Amino acid sequence: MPNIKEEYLLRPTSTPEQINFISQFFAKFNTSNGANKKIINVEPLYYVGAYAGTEFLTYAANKLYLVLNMEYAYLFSSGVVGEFINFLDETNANFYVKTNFSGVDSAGANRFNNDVITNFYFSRTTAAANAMTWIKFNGYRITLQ
Amino acid sequence: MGSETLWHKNNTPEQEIFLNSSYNYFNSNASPLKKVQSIVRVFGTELWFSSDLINYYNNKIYLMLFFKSLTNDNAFDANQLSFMNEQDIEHYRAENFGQLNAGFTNTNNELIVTNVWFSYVVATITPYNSFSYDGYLLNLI
Repeated sequence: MPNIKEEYLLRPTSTPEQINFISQFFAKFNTSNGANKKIINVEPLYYVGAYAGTEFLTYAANKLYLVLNMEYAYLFSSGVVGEFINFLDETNANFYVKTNFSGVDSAGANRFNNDVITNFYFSRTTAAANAMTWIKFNGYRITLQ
Repeated sequence: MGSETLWHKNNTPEQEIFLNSSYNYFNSNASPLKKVQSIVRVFGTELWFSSDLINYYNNKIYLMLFFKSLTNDNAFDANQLSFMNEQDIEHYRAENFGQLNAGFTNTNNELIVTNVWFSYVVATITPYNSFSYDGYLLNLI
């Protein structure tokens, strides 16, 4: 079994927030006495493009995404009070909902808006109310035992 | 070719992942895309209409560590950027509604995108829209 260490993800330029987050992530998923599965592979992952059809939408019991920086842009329509995205955890349960109301447009036109999340992990995402059209992911794909 | 230009010890983890992935994408033997012939560091600030970043060429790709669009006008309510890929197709969009237009005059609206690649950008066209950027230009063959 590969011995994946958190040092593999750390760089001299890692921020204190990244170091803290990665340390906590490995403490949760790489312990031998916990209920969580162990980390057996990490792959750097950068993706920019359409959200539909991406791997970020599908659940697998042995797959997680470690986010250093993820930006997404979504279309919303007049009358929709905000847009939000659900993040699901390693058990495929919704554990974080991020909303952004800053782009509500009183003029009634269809608009795009952007949002960003950093130092986070998820197994998959769902866009609850609006089409999340574009995504820019920067981080790692994690494979669990 | 010339990829050593991209690697610096002070690159952030996000920059390292972005530059590795993007360079490999445009320099892969398995890809139908053109190969990287040379890499040039680019940075500057300029008005949109005099910027070459709005023009499409089939042999250049920008890897931008930092890209900022600043609009200053009261006739538009959003600062919008469409990032076009090597096939002249939109592959990412960013938009900032920071200040809606009603009741404001000559409002500044700043939109910053980091670690993004594109062949050119389509921007909100206002008289004083300007770009500031720092990154690399890949010349392809």
